[in-house]
Amino acid sequence: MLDQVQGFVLSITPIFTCLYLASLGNSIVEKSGILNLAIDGAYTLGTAMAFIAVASVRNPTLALIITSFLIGLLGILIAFLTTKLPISHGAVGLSTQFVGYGLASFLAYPVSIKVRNEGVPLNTYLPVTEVVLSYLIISLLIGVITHVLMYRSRLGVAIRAVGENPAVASSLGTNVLGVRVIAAFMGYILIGVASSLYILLYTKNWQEGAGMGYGWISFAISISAGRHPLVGMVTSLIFASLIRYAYVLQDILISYGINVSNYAVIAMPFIAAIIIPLTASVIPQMRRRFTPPKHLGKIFFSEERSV
Amino acid sequence: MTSEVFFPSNKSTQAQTPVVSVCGLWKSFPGVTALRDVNLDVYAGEIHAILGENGAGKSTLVKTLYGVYVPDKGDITINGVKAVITSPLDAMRRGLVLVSQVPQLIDTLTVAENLALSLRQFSLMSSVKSVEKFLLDKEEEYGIRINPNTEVWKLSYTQKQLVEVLRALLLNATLVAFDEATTLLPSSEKRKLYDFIRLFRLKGGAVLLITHKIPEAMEISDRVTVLRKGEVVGSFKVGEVSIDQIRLMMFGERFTQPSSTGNSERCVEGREAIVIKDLWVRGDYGTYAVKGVSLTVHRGEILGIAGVAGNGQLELVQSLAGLRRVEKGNVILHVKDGNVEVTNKGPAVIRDLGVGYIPDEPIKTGISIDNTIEENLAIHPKLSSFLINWRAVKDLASSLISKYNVTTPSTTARVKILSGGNLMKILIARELMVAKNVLLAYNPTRSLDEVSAHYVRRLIRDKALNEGMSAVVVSEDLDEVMEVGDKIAVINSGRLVGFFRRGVDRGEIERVMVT
Repeated sequence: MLDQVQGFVLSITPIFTCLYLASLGNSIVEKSGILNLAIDGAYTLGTAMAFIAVASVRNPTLALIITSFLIGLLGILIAFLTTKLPISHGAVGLSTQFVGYGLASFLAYPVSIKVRNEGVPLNTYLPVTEVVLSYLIISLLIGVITHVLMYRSRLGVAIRAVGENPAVASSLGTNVLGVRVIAAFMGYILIGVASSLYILLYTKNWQEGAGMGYGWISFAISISAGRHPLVGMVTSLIFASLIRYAYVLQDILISYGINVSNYAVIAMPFIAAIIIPLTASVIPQMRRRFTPPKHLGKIFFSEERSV
Repeated sequence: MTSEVFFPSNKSTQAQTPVVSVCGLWKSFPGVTALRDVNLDVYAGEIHAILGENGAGKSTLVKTLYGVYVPDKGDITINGVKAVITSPLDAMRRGLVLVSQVPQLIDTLTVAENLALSLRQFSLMSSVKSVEKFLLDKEEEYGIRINPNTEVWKLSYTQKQLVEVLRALLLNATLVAFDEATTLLPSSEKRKLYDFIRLFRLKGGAVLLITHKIPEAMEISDRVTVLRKGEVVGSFKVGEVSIDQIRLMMFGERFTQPSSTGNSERCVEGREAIVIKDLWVRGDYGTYAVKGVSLTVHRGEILGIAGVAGNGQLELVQSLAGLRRVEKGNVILHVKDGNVEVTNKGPAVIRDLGVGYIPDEPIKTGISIDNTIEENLAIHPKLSSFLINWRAVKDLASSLISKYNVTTPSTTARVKILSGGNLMKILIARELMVAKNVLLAYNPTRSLDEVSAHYVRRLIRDKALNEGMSAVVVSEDLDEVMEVGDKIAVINSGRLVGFFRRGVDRGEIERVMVT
């Protein structure tokens, strides 16, 4: 029994961490009112950078740090563009996404050929129990710290305030741009860590399109958890299990005579992404927790005549 | 009236430097000059009222002081030092705090969390718990009793304003500006707030009280400055000038002796027009806001509903207009074609029966500020068909603008350049026109000055008298309910707790409002 639990934990942890941490990052970014449509581009770019970094510095932790910092800078850029200028969050987010996709292939493809041809060793994390477990513990710890930061500290209050109503937050004395830059930097660092772990702990190699779609799954996880750091642990576990054990589930269903196509199996996490928030929205007590920040994705421009 | 009355010569009594001094301030918005060469001195230990009609530039003036707008020209000096105020944060650091009519608080956060955003002595990493503890101590000191751990949406309007005052006290402000912040409070609650304002003055603070209500300015302030069309037309000590002289300064040629609003009591006993039976409606957060309200309004009758804000009146009006789901009970309208049950029928069906609706927050639910005046009229299904006859709309717009005395550069001006009062007039004009059978209104004259408000109330009463329109007018301003209603109902915690006839004593109504 204990072995089974341990086996389950070890097999699910890599995918769990690289979804949970990204969803955590997304929650912080969106709580500050920035519509985070760039997430999948950032995630794909992050996997590419982690691959390039680990191929050149040959140390997974160093590669992870470099990647996270660079992706964090991308977050600062997005926060600046969506807050300081009256540009639509959708336009900034989606164009950043496609730039991310393009850059990822452009930068990592030559390196992947070099790795294959010259036999460059990829020093990714070893799949031993200690490493995997320590990453599980670290990500759960980051989740708890994020929760304390968001709901117990003045910084967290400021982040939630600029997402709810930046104009009021500003008149209460909050520097909207400053707070959003901090939130986006923190959030994108977490997205960077998650995408690095995708390469360094989960797939161990890069191929064209690696990580693509995982940003969106993290986005869905974050939203179906009402952007709450602790609830996100549960939804991440559901999604991670659905991805990791999709084919096992398919086998079980088939053994009961229910024929499910492969496509339906692949679509399962996304169906869950719709069902979970839907369930939450019909329960009145849950609804308030799950409502998005009031000014999520709205342009904040101060010199405007109003009543 | 000599200029000496408006600009008394004994200025020498004020030897000290003003806390805030404004010199030659200009500010314009596309198509409108909001401030023209405004001069103003505010001294420590003084309550200084700024009076003016709608669109006079009062709000623009304080918002400029508070760093929301950048002035086109002119200087602001604080304690004798020239200052360029770049943002509200900057203003706050310089000791200026603004308390506005709409509480500037974030609903989903607690009181402590809201105040934590303003209190600079707490670092970004300090805990909300420590702020809560600090607040409890301070509330004790000032005698304000509000649990800092309560989310703001659970507070009443007065409590929210008290939180704002507490914020000003905690920030050690040198000047607090109240932008129409006391206008909507019932008088007992208003006194409470006045006590804090006086306390603040006693401690040497300066207060700027922005209002369009003359009695309010006279009751508490030491000095009054009158703005008209963006210009200072008078500045004097309270008691130096009579109320009529002030009215003349505020309204100029528009001012005539306010006539009484029609005959004082009418006996309306005709056909029933609106019948509401045991209505239950939920508020935004799932709990019942309206709890079993039943009432009848007759044809040609105006029902005024009084109550302290947040007692279910908003949800009641919204459910009548079809904008909020009725959980239980029903609403029946009696129109020419017979009785129509309109419970949960949606706004399109209800409006089609000749129902006009004046909402509380015009910018959110009444008018589209990025569109022009003409477009805001043409959007109404009663006023245009599939193809819009723009010439007719233009004529309509022009006639309404002159009828309601709207200050606007043209009929094709975007609504957002209008002042709050003028914007409201456009909305009222449209809705009164379409209200063939029923008018639903929530704080219809909230942002209007005395003359305009009086005019609108008279229009509502005339329309009821002459055309048999029935109306439900909800207002947080008790004077308005008493002026406009044939019948007055008081709502408290979602229930109707009292019915009065027109002409009832104000004190009687206030008693049931707050208990």
